[in-house]
Parts: sequence; C-alpha cells; structure tokens
Amino acid sequence: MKIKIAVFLVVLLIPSSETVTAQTVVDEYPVSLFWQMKLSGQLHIDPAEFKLCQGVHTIGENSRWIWSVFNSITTPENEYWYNPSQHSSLASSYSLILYQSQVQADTDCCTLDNAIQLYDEAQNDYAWDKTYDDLISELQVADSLFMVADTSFVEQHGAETFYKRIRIKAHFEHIVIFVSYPLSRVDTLHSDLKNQKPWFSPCFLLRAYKNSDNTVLSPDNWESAFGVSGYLTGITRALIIVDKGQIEVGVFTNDDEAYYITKITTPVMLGVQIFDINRYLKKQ
Amino acid sequence: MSQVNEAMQTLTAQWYNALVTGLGLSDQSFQLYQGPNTMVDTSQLMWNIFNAVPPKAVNNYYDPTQANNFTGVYGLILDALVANPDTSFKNCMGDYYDVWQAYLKANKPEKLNAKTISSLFNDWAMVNAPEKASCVAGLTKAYINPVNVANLMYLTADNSYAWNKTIENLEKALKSGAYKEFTLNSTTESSNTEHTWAGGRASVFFDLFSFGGGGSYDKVTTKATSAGIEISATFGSVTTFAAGPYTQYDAQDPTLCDYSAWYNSAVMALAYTTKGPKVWNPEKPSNWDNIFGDKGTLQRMATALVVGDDITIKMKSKADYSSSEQTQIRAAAKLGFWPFFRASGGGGTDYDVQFKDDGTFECTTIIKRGNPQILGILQTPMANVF
Repeated sequence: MKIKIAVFLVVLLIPSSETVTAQTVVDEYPVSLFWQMKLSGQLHIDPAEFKLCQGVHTIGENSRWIWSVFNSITTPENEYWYNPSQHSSLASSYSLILYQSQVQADTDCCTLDNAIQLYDEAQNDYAWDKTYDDLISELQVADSLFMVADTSFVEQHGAETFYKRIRIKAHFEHIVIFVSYPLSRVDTLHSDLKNQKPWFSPCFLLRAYKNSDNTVLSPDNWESAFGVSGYLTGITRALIIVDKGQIEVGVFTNDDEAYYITKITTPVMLGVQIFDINRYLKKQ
Repeated sequence: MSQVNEAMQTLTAQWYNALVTGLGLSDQSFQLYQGPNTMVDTSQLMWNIFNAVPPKAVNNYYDPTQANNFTGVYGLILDALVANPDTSFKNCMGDYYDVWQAYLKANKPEKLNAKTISSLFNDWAMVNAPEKASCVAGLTKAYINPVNVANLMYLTADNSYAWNKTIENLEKALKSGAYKEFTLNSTTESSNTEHTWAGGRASVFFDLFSFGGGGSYDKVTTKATSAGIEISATFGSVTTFAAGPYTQYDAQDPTLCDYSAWYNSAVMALAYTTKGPKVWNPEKPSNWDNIFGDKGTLQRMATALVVGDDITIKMKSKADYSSSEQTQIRAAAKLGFWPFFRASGGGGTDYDVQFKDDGTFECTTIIKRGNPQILGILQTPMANVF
C-alpha cells in the first residue's frame, strides 16, 4: 500500500540562497524524487525531461561509450528515473522508419533515397557529433555546484503524528550538460570522427514525424513509431556529468535517523536530458 | 511459510529497501542478486547474467542453466517474423521493371550497396525512364530491410552472442566507482516491498547462516532476526553498469573484435509494436502473445548490473547465543553467510565473528578490493523500451 503524505518543503540553495516553500502530496520513498527535483531546478532543466541515473554511473573511457548512451532510446513518460536499457537504439529505429517510408516523387533535396544511402554507407557504425575528448574538455571548464536542500514530511495516522525529514547536501567541482546529436555531416577535425561516416538525415525524420497522413509513413506505421506507445518517442539530448564531489543524504524520523554518503572522485553521469521527438527535432 | 523463511523474507526485504535508498536506486527496477555466485570475473559470465530474463521477484539467484534467455527468445522472434520482400519498387516501376532488371543483370556494379545501385539506377532512368526516377528509394530500401538485416546478423554470430561491454569495461568502471555507506536497523527499517515492481514477490529463500542450508540453521536464524539486527555497510567502490546486446561491431575493443554484432533493435520495435499477421507469421509457433503477453517469455530484460567492490558488512545481533549455538555460527562463517554466502578465504572474502560476554555477536564480512560482487540488477519492462 502506498502511503500519501503531506510535504512541507523548505529548500536552501547556495550560492543563490533561493528559498522555496511548497506544500504538496507525494508517495513514500521521496528521497530520490526530492533530489531529482532540486537538481533539475539548479540545472534549469524541466524536471519532466531530467532523468536521474540509478546508483553511480561511472563514465566509459572512449567515444563509443558516449555514443552508446546517446543511441539508447528511452521513453519520456512520467517516471523520473533514467532507463539504462540499450536494447532499443535510435540508429536502428531510424532505419525502420526509412524502410517503412513510402516511395514517392521528391520535391526537394531531402529525399528518402539520399537518407537511405547515407545510412547504408555508415555500415552499422553510428557516431554522434561529439567525442570523449569534447566531454573531458567541457567538464574541465564547467562550473561547480554547491547545494543544500531540506524538506519535512508530516503524516497523520489517527492521533499519532509521524515525522520525516530529508536533508541533502551536495557539492561537485564540475558539472556539465553535455549535448550531442547524431552525426549528420562529415567532421574531419575530431580524431575520433574523421573516420566516421555521417548517417543521420534530420530533415527526413522531421518530414516523417510531421506527416501522419500516409504522405511518408502509413498511419499505422506512424503510430507505431511516434504515437503515445511508439518506439521512438524520447531521445537523449544531453548527459549530465559531474566530476569530484560528495552527496550527503540524511533521513530523520520520529525514532530513527539514517545517513547515506556518496563520494565521487572521477567523472560520473548523474542523469540525462530526454526530449520528446517533437522537441528534439525542433532543436536539431 | 515457515517461521525462518518468514524471518529471512523480512530481512531480505529490509536489505532490499536499504540498498535502494543507500545506493540511490529505483524500487521500480532493482532486483537483489543473491547466492554464492555473486562474483563476476569473465565477460562471458557477465553476458550470461545480462542474457537471463529476470523473474518477477525482488530477489533472484542466478541460475546459469536458465532456459529463458534473451538471445534465445530473440531467435524465436526472428523465426516468427514475416520476411516479405518489399514490393514498392516493382509497383512503382510498372512496365519498366523488367527492362531495368535486364539492364541491372548486364551492368551489375562490382560492389552492391545502396549508393552504387542508386547511382546505376539514376543513370539508367535519366536516359530510359525519367518519369520513374523517383522509384529509386524502393530499390535502395532493400539494403536496409530490418528483417533481412537482423536475420543475417543473427546467423553470422553463429551462436556466439556478446554484449556491447566487457569485463574489462566493468573493472575500469568499478575502479572509478563511488564510495557508499549506509546502515540498516531491522527493528525500524521498512520490510514492505509491495510497492516495488515485483509487488513484494521473492524467489529465493535461505538462512542467515546458510544458502539452502536445509534447516540446520533455522533456529539461530530465527533467534537473530527476532531479536533485531543492525547492519552497517560500506562499499569502497560501487557502480551501475549498463550494457546492451552487441549491435555495432567494435574493432577497437580487444575482446569484442572477435565477435560479430548480432542484434538489431529495429526488428524488436517492429515485432513489439505490431501484433498481426502482417508482421507475425501465423504458421510459426511463436506469436506476440506467447512472447510479450501477460504470460509471455520476454516481459522484461536485465539492462544494468549494480556492482560493488571493497565491501565491509558489519552485522550485530542483539540475541544471546548458547555456547553450542556460538560453535554453530562460527562453523557457518567458514562457509560464508548472508548476504553474500561466499566461503571464507575464497574470492578475497573473510569473516570475523566476535561474541561478547552476554552472548550477543558481531559478524564482519570483508570482501577485499579486486573482487567485484554483483549486488543486483536493474530490469526494464518491454513496454519501457519499445
């Protein structure tokens, strides 16, 4: 049984010293949700688009790791946790859309044939437009973050009052919102990209998305791809990476107190920013 | 349910909740990984764990002989999908189709791919059938037919199915992992796991002092859990390690370069989002319902491992034990006990059991750095993937 509890929030964010007071109702186990809300606020990311990583996602050591995370499709539903599944990839889903698109007379240079050729030429090797070196460079010059957040919960059970308080103190030396898009043009400047072939035609995906009336995809295929339960509804736009820091969580109740400490000494992925397909294509 | 099973289920649920909160996990995807095989030291073993379809339970004991695995079900899906050739090119070309086919036969490019065939067709159409030039995409589509591509990849792998990360990747991730610590008090920690993805179901039962001990430790287990247990856990390094089926050949990786990429998620998207005979061949035994339905074989997948190293677990029991019970507990320590069940001295694991004058005990499990332990997995339901 899920217990609904009243929440009284008092949050202190440093250095902005912003104070927020609110009253709402949330489910039990709010520590992670509270952390996600406060962190997305600090990063100026819509909480609905910020997905929190479970545990400590240490980052890989090369560009392929970065691309495998960007390539993973995740559903943008209300869940605030990041779904780490790599069973569904943007590159594969994109190929299905190309395959199911109608053969028709082309009106501009954004043609299905060009999109297919580009995709096929990449030979199952799909890169994004930023590399591991880019990530490390951006991280090294990124700002620090210091945050203290506090919230109290009061739950009434008959005559008994249950009290719960959560306090989170976090500090990171560097935090970066690392944005990258599928490789759509030749890049000879990055060493990791000079041998990678562009494979993605954003203009064609946009056309497929904008036309649900059999112009590009049949209505059934459009619904399977972009509909409410479609396989391409959410795309990873950015990784939220931190370097060196600590998160201290204290949970205090009527008769107990518990502390959870996380010490971070190397770059870690705290979460990702997911855009729904509409917003993603608009940003491209 | 026996008294000891009930007691251990309670403690397991408390350990589950403590790990979820302590390690920052979601109770909508975390599954405890228990038993004596929690150490992972080869890529193949790690891939086997990713490959096993997790049962609906808050805890699981990995069984290497488990029949229900992702690669096997994926093969069944491929076998059941309709592999109709795309007819859009033929339909688009009409009477010109045979003329083009004859031209292609006489002028086949040395290397056949979407680019060369498109170039050949465009040259031909410009002279012979300008009004059919837009049919070219129907021709090039053949090179990205997801069912054909997926079948070819799966067959090429020849029963050797890798995941896209290796044990070396895991070890490096763990070396960069974070330090974590938390405590658990069995008298106050919640034992409610009804709210989790598994709805409170547990799949493994064991004693505090023996994994599958056959009842010999029931009494001391019940005594310990009844009196209350305090646990403090520290992890020198912990990481959440995600991996997926091997999709893109990785020539740079010294392990993966020996494997063929075998997985294509486009066919899974196609299979999952379309139920009817247009996609699923009705003459095949596998269909949407017996794969993805309520009682289907593939309702969720293991998508990440939660792995710890350099672990110290201190467990204090407030119960007082007789000298014979103390002897029994000391003997159990040699073979390993909850929550890791690793034999003392094996895999960098040591136990220290101290009894105080009043008979209460403190047991310390130390797993030295360099001996990664799987603490659990993250499972993802199909509906959250496709």
